[in-house]
Amino acid sequence: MTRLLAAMLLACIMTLPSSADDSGLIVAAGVDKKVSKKLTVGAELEFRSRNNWRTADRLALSLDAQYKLLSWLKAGAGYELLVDNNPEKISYHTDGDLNNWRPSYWGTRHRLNVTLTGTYTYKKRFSVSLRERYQFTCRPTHTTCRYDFDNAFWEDTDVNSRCKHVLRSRLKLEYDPRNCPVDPWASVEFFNTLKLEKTRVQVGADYKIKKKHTLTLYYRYQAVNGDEDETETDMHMVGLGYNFKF
Amino acid sequence: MKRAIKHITPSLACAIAIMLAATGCQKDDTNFDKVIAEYEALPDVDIEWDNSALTEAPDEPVTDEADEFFNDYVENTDFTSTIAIDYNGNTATVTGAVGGVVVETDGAHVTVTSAKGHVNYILSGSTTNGSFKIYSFNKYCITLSGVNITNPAGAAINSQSSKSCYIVLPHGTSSTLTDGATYTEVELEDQKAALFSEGQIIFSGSGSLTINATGKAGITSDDYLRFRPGPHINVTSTAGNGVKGKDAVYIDGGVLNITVSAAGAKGINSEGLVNVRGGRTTAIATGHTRIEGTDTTTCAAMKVDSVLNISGGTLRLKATGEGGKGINCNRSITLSGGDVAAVATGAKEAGSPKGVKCDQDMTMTGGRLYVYSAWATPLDVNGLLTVAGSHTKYESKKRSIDIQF
Repeated sequence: MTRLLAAMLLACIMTLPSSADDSGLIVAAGVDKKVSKKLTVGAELEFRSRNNWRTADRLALSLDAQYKLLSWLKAGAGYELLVDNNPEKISYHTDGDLNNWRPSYWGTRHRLNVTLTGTYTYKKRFSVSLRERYQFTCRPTHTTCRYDFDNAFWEDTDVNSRCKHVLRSRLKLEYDPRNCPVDPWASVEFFNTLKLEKTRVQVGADYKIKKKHTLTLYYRYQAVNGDEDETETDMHMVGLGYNFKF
Repeated sequence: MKRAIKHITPSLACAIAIMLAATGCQKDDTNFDKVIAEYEALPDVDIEWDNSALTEAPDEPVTDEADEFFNDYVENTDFTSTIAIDYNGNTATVTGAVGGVVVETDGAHVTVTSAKGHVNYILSGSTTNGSFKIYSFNKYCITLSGVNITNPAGAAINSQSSKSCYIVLPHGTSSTLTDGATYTEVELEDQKAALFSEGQIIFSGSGSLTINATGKAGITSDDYLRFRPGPHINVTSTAGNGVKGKDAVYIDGGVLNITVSAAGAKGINSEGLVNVRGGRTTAIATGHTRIEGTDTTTCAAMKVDSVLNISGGTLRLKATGEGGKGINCNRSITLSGGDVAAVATGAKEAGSPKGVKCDQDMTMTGGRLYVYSAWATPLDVNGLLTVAGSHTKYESKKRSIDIQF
């Protein structure tokens, strides 16, 4: 298993720079508090990079709560503050001449979500879960600057506010091997607006250092199905996570 | 297994630390520094009036009487008669009497009616309410011997003669001509500038002349203008063109500094051709586009309705007003020598600023041409642009083009 983990990490790192798509890193640290037998609250801080790991992409702080409705069904809700490093935007005239250049800028978004997760466990080793999450994300108006090549000067420009509704559907398979603290898993998740906007495939493993401490390592590939106002591209990512549960 | 994992945990922690240290530190923006620098580049040539002395080869008069310009050389005419007019405040004293020449004075306003040729009128002194007006059936010479004339109601010098007018600026003299903001017009007579002539005006000598035009153009001939080597002439016009030769403008030499500021005004203007073969000429047009109904007229440091030939000299032409042009030529341009810089720094709104706008062909076989436009094509040739292959430099940037031989 150790070799498998090391090989997986190595394979991810080695293959990413050679990929035509972008690649990045996700590092997250979270804490969960079991308030009662059925209610758990948590918080997480996450950092993402892009541009083949070289550029900071996002900082996110999330708060959530999960309530166990049934033994196999959980409901949850959360809020996330996203601080994004929005990539540059370049526009051209029809003759190919440069029109405007808006450099990258940091901006915030706010996200609310509600979640319903159903889990089926087979022989206490295998589990399959389906998570349906509705998320509502709002970007407030942000004033940044752009360069106007026609008039050769910098000017202020407003990035208009925008809200977005997304339904995320995630199917996850987990395996809990006997006498092993490492639990491998794989998932596929679809992001739907009025169309399929993004598909995310992840393969990873959770390592329970102790009962309260868990490390997670995973590989993520996400394919983006275009949105003219979004600048996301297809990405390979390596994720590292730590969770403290008490 | 647990033992193995315990070993891998510190390694993972180190890996995380290294990854975090190495990631996220760079920007992923396109580096537009060079592009922006090119877009914001200022002209390489700084164009301002140059009042320094100019050393130039002496002008050799044409001696062949068959030459069409033989008559343009004051040396080829023997001015045997002289009338001196000395301005002093509101009076003018006339000295010398010539048969066939009637000189009338009204205060410091002097009117000459001449039926005799070969007369040299020597003007001196100073007046703030005077003028010199001439009707002549023959060519004549006006020597500006340190005269300072201001006419609040019209042109300072007004020639209603269609014959050659030789303006001679003696060495060591400085003369000034100033018109009024409003002209009192005379029926059936033109007065289009502070210094106006119905006939051709030929400048010679080695003195200096300053023209301050506030009502109309600085210097205008309804025939042609010739600037011979030697004189130093500064022209400022706030109401009209700088210098205009209706049929042609010949710049053979001398120092010519011009600034015009009216909307749509031209520094150097001709409805015919412009021929530059020497001297140092600086023309600056600061006016914006003149809009009259649906018609728009952009300003230009040099506007040529026919052809422009440049074979020598230094030309510094700058338009700073909206839509202004360094050179605006309706027909073809030939550049075989000289050092030419044509710069347009104005904005692009009603008019499109160009370093050079040429409606027909442009041919360059020698000299240097530097063109610049802050907001539009620096060199706009509607016909064929031909640059002889022997050039030593051809540098084309976003805002400028520099061609040198």
